[in-house]
Amino acid sequence: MEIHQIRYFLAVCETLNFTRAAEACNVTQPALTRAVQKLEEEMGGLLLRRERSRTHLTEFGQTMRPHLEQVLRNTEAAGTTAKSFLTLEDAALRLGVMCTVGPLRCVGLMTQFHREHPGVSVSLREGVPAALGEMLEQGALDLAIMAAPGGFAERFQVKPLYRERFLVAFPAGHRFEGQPSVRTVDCGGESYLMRMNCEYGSHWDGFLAEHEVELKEVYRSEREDWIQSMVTAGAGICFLPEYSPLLPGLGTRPLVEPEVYREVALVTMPGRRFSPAMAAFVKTVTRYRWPESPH
Amino acid sequence: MSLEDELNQLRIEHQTDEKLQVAYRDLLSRLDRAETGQRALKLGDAMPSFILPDAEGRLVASDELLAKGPLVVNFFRGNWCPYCLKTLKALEASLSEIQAAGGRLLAITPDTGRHLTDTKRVQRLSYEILSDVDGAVGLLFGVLFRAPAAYRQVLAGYGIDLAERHGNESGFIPLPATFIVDRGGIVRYAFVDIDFTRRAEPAEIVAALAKLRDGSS
Repeated sequence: MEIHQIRYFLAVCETLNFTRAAEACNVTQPALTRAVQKLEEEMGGLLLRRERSRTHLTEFGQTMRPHLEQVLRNTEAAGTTAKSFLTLEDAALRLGVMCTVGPLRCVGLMTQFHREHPGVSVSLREGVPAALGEMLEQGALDLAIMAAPGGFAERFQVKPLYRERFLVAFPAGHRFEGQPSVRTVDCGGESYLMRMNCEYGSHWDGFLAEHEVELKEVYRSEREDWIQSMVTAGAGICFLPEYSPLLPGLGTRPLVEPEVYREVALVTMPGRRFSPAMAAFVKTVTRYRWPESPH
Repeated sequence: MSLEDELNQLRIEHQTDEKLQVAYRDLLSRLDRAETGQRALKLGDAMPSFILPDAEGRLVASDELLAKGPLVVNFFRGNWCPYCLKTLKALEASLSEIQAAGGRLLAITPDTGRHLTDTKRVQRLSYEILSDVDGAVGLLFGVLFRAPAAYRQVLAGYGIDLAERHGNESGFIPLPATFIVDRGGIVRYAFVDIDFTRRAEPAEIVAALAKLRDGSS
């Protein structure tokens, strides 16, 4: 089958009239008819039926039409992809970002992507990595930016983006202010607030136990701002990723001995149907220079 | 033994399968009447750019590959086809010669997902296998066609489910075809045949690449 044959067939599907279709495609009616006939021969059945002055699709034509539309659309995209993304209209990319990444961190990336590809609209979903992973598998998301403490399941395609240390956050006036960094053992005896949205949430219990450091958990919440507000108010300390947006009045120091860090990655499902918009985004995010932490 | 000898052996083996032979002859006469592949990319044509996922799920852009040197683009139907398997293995056996002659091999199939990884792993292939999702690249090269119902039924009889492999019900598959494209994106060798039992001989591919390399000095 050839591209022009498919184009002509789809034009007849639209107009239900060979003459008008030929006009729309800028060819003679006999040329269009011949092309459609060749396509029908190869497909192994009549796609269109002419009855007196009316033309309509056969059942076979109706079945094949979406497949032909899809392959034609993809050929147009394949060419566009390689040349320029600027002609992509109303493309929608569904991106998932884990909630602990924070808007500020993403703003730079999204701005750059929009500057490079203004035709591509991106819908952003927030979620915990487990939920984002499920959405990727179900096809509700095209890509996700997230981390996984134990590494990702084999079924995912993972492209590491950057590494992020964990910090200890504490209120103004806390003893940790006087140190350039906080050792894990230094945290012993502190009151602790657990950030439930953090994929490392449950990781801390094991980690602290491993280093024989006892903390008293006084509060847990999915709300980043509540946790930080309560830390600022003196309720205790928490651990958070170094690029988190911080409330004013919150002190932070890097956790050391050992350092704890997470690898933030771009995650996709291998073997999935892709779009030029996705290819564009993968290209941008791979080249993007993530801002360094002030710490 | 040349690839042609190996394929000939297969043809002889399959001659006794009457159902297969009927479907095979029907397919060839249909493709011949429809003039399938007659307007495929030819010498001197510009290869359209494309981006396709590989067996590891990474996106591979033809432009990026061309910047590094000539490409050998080989369309195959899938690892369900014994002729495709022989060809893929013969290409692997000739890979060092292909590379020495300056070429980079790409194999393109309508198979998706695990069928790609299976093909690569089981056949121990070290070159790129790309998934032509929805057949767009095959169409761009002018080698795509719809497998007739009779042929698909015969395949189903052997447990080959094209819809499951392709992730769609279109039944579109490529003619076996091999193209050599120079760094400028121009086709310098084209082998296209409606007979899926016929394939480009690796020795011919190597010779064409060598000619390209020597001629471009």
